Amino acid sequence: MDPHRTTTEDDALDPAASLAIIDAQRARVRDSVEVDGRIIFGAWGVAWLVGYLVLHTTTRDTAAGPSPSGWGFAVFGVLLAAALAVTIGHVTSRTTGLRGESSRIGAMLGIGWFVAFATVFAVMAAIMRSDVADGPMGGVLANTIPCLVVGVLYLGQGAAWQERTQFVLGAWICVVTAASAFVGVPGLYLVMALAGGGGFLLGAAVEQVLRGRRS
Amino acid sequence: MSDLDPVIHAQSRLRVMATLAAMPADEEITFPRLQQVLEMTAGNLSTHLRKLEDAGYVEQSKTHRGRTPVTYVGLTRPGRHAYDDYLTSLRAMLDPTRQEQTS
Repeated sequence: MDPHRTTTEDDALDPAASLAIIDAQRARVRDSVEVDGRIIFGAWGVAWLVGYLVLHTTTRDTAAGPSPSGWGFAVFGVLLAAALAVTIGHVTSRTTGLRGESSRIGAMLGIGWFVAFATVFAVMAAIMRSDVADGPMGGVLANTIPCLVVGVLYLGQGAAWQERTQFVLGAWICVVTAASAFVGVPGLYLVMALAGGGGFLLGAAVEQVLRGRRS
Repeated sequence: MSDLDPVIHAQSRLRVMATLAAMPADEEITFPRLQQVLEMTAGNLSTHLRKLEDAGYVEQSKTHRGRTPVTYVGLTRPGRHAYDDYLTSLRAMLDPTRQEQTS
């Protein structure tokens, strides 16, 4: 390494070049360290839109009332698992090697999701063992309980990170979930696909617009 | 140009400072991850970090994760102030009307 050459290079820095370096590094941090809302909202938007449409189109009348087919639920499950894998992979790759308040908040929220969904599965197991599962509210509860939890966690995350898109999305998911409970099966799946999945995709589009304005 | 802090006003160190300042306040990053974000060689990065640390702008804390030693790098409070001042001077140089208004 030639220290003199570096010094000459550094002396040549003019204010405009310095500002260009700063802008470039900010963009680099945004693209390598910050979690990208477009990826997260986009992945869940596609999973909800396609998954719920599959549930809706495969719903048939059964002895216990209208219900999606087994393979419909399987496709829905695979899509949700894929969105979860994208989320975990993306967040992990962006936040690896970071330490501080934001990382601690992120870790606590991650544990929060785990605890909340463990509770959702336990409550659903209890519902499925009861008579409620055989009635028209069985399908409604099986969908509204996890969606309510998603909405509330998005509200909390939006508040913790001070991210408006995420907060509004959380409120929107709560509204859509409430509406879907009154619609019932099978219309509920259409509501979740278009308003829920559509809401996530709109959130991804908003992030794209905000990103364009910032740079 | 005399207004600009010479510790920061050097291409490599400016890149390091701008990167650390762009992260959330109080957030630290491991040396290899910072190296990856900056696309700098380890030797080059440690040379510049040492200069920034000598000026009190950057703090390097060594710890262990399991048996592996890990070095976290973060901006100090004086470092953040110095960077903010640098940015203010820079903007004033590029927009003299604003400099007149503020001084």
